[in-house]
Amino acid sequence: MEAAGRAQAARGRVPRIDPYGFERPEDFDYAAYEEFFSAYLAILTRRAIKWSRLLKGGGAVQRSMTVKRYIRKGIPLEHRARVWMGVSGAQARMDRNPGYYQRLLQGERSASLEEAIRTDMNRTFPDNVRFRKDAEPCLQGPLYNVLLAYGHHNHGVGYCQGMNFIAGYLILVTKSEEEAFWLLDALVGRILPADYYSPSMLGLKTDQEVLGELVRTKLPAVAALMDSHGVLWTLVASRWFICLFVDVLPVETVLRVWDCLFSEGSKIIFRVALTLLKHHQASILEATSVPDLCEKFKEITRGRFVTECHSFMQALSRFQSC
Amino acid sequence: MNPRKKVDLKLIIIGALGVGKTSLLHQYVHKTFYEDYQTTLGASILSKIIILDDTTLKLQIWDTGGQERFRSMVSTFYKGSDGCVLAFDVTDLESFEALETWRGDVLAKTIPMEQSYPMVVLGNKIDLADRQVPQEVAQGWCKEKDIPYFEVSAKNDINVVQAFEMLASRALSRLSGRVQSLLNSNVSLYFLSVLTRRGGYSLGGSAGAGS
Repeated sequence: MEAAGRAQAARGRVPRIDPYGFERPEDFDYAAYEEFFSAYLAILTRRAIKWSRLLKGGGAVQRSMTVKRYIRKGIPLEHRARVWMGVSGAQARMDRNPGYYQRLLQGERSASLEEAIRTDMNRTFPDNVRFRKDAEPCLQGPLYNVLLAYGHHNHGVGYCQGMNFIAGYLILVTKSEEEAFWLLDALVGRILPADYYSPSMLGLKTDQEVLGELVRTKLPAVAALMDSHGVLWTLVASRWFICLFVDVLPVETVLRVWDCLFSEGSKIIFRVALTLLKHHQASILEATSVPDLCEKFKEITRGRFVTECHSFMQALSRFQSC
Repeated sequence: MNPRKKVDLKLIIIGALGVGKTSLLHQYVHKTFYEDYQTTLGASILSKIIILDDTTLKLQIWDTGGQERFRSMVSTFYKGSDGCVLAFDVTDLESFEALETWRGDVLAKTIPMEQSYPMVVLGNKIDLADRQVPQEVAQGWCKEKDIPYFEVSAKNDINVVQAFEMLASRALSRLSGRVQSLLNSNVSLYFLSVLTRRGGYSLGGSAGAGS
């Protein structure tokens, strides 16, 4: 009874829509979240003071050991766009190419590209109030522009589904089309392996195989179970890789993962995947069928372990040494 | 008397982008409809248990999605399926014209059997006004291929259950037919038991692998 009362009270205090505009799911655990967040708030405040000191005086954020260490502990939201732009090299490219983004949008448009992007407009974050077609202002416009510009910029890739979710997050964080474009360019063009989103998707397929091999080495029991059911890693992991954990992990956790992704590169994706699998190994091994396994793989992306993003990122750092 | 038989069936739903595959599936499995679902990337599985002709059927329905470039990844999931929903949008002519390719794709990936591979065609979004594919045209195409055709609306829950149950029933008779023909040909009981126990989950090929 007391627990129910606490949950009710927490429901009253924690907004139903998160700071990024996403509606919290029906089964959201408000009490657990409030407990986590009050502790996390203290960490955020401490980090914010340190970051403000580090970034004092403006200028581009340069890569350094200190910056890397700071980033692992999380970038406060108010500095996130600037730090991502700095460490990924996006800022430098944007500065070297003034007006480039606008020119991409003014040039001749490819009808097939536009149609492909348009198909996904209402299907990108229907659970986010800022992306709804009746939102004011509506982020579908900026999202459309960023994807269209990118398709014109990188003909080899054009538009690949999944990029809509990534660009959407970039827009939410930067609140700037042009910065979102250059960050997307940093991710697709340099940080991720080649051919992740191009029509052959060879880079993506390779990474899925690599994950399979890593699991074979580090978590042989899980690998054996997957083999015995003939489950391809594609079924489980394609979303993880294509969407870089957007809509897989909680928003705050995705952003913390991306902090490291922009600063340390695509190996972070494997670390996240392996950390999830390792932490939930016992539960995964209980699965007796393919649908069971699918359910397990959904479960491991929910709950306390991933919601508590700070300790999750610490677990990630620990994993690399084992 | 005859204890109720239990059979697992693996069904897949395929078709062009945005025809409403996820909506149809959610309407069938959860009796819910939303205007906009998130883009489906890769595949996800929904399960539903139904009773048909004194048999308990556990349906595992694989929702697939994504652009052309995802096709080679997604089509690996066709293997070992017991039946397929081919979906198009009656307000989108291209999605209808693409049925031929989708059908070819799925037939190429499933193992040819003595009985034909069960399929149903669903023309979705009949609740919308701007129709581009006349019923007779779709009906004609399906008749030629000997595939049952259903005009459906995921939004208004029209014909959705009927279509899925028709597919399930055809998949079930095909499976029973295979069991029967094995019995007739006196193949060892071992294989029979493998067939009846088989999950329909096997992606890797051999039926009942690892069980």
